[in-house]
Amino acid sequence: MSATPPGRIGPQGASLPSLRRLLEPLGHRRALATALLFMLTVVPKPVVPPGPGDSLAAPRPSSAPHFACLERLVPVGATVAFFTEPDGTARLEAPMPLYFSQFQLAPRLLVVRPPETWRSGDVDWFLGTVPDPSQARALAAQHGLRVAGQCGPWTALERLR
Amino acid sequence: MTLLAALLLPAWIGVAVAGACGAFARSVSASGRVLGAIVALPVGLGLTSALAFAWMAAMRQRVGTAGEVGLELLLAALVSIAWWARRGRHGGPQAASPSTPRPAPLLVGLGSLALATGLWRLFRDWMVVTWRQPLGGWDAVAIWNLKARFLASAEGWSRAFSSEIAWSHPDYPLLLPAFFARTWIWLGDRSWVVPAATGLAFLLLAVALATVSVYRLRGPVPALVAGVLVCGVAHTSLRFHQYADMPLAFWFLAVNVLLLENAVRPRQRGTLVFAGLAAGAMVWTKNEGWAMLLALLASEAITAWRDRLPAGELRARALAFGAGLAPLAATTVVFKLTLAPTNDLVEGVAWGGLADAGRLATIASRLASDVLSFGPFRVSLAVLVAGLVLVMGAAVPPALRSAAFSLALRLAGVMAAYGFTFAVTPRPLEWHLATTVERLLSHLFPSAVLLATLAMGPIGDPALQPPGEPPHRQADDGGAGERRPGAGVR
Repeated sequence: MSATPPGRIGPQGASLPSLRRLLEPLGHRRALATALLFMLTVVPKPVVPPGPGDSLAAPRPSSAPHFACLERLVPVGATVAFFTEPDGTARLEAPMPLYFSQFQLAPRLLVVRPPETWRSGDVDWFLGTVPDPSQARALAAQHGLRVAGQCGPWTALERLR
Repeated sequence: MTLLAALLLPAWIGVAVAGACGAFARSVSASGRVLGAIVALPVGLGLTSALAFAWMAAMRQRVGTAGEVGLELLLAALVSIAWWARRGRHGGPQAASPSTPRPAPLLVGLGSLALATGLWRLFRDWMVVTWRQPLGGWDAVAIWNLKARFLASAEGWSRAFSSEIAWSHPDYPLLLPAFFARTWIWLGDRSWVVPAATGLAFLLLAVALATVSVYRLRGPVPALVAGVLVCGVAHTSLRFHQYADMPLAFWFLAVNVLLLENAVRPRQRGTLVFAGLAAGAMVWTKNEGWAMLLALLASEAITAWRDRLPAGELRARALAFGAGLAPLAATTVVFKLTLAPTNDLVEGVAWGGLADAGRLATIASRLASDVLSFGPFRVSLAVLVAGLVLVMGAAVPPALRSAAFSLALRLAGVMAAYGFTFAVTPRPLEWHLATTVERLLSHLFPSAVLLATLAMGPIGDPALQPPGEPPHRQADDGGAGERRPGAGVR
């Protein structure tokens, strides 16, 4: 009397050629499923959809020369007000430029301060990207600051002492 | 040379701690030693990170960098002595080699090919993503590596916790940032290589840990299944590379693996100490680690009650686990109490969300949809795992049933905690779900794969593998181990 063991699809011969012996496990439902799983994992998704960070401009060290220049200019312990507009405000379509600048300038603290507080506030350094250097000079004069330097697109303003 | 020293010392500390916990005792098999080494390396990283943080917060101004090096050397010496003392105490005869079932060559070949392909694809795509974003993805730049840059500076390190940069989540734990900062200080250079290489190491170690663990508990073919599937999780995590999510997934997997190991060899208290260390690393890595720790304690308590574990045994287990948990959990608590501002989700918690049926339905629907689409394969990873369990049936070896039950409970517990967090989040729900669910699932999938492969019915000829018995005779305790009372066949 013979019984088919659980999980086995068909009867097995007593002596098998080597190929049959090799393929013998596939006669079992569970082994077949395992083989199928291994084969499925070899096939990747056709296109990996973009992740949450992929739509952003990839932060790369290519802008490092500008930041190396700024690191020489701005003291390590400084708190720095960040601006993007000629009137001293910070307008960001996406926050990544602020995050990336903070990353590059750490341990300097990059903060956003309304321009009306610049003259009497707690911040002595101001860093921004304005297209025209004359706009930076005007901004400095308006708030009692001086232009400390230019690093690529970045203008650094410092409080007059 | 300095880089080598900066990496070798944490590695040695981890190996010595593992040795002191009995991971390399003479009676432990080769696969057991490999498993110990896989967990040891990140444990060394975690302990070094906590030590570096203590030095930054309390001693840097007084003792300088040499003081930090001295502290690490002191820790290395202490754990080495503990290891040496343990070797002296437990040096026994070599245990008999475990008997292994005859694996089907075709399945082993297919599985090895799938794993090799997965690892190659993982490494290739890691190279591509690192080339594109060497400084890491969004949160790596805005949170994890940014904190490391602050911590690396003697003058401005405490600014990492300023409320002025609340967007960088100043309350987040510091296992990765403190380790990166410490290594940068040693090197004298804030190289992007340190976070990038650490991230890759955690991915590869997660795959290795799942593979070796399942090999020990269920044999080679289930091990290859686990390796291939966890490799898929690691590949998916390249979408958020250099984040702390995969390190957290590694720690959660490590705790679960070590508790399963302990279920087979319950007298080896060192395994529980080691599991406690990994649990401490969970909370020192990410805030989600607290949800995992709570789920872990709850699931173990329920399982102990269900198995009617004697009070003395329970106390001894809790003490061993607590001894391991203490160093990194205490570091995290001190950080939270002294430097970290209040977490933004806790501060603005919106309890009303719990009673909002529409909101709960949105959360459930999003979680289900992301579970069903997770993974880098054409067929979702969840479908593969579910299909595997359906076809194979569940046949957990008796010695592992309680531990597997506990693991299933805590996976459900952590998932429920994540769902709860979404229900009460003060952030816009759709945005919060869209930016976090995939990462949260990556915390759980490696451990879910571990559970599924553990529960797999026997593959191939049942005559080779007695039903209900693990394929390996568990001889790592040299015959000293006993099954936990009540953990046998029910």
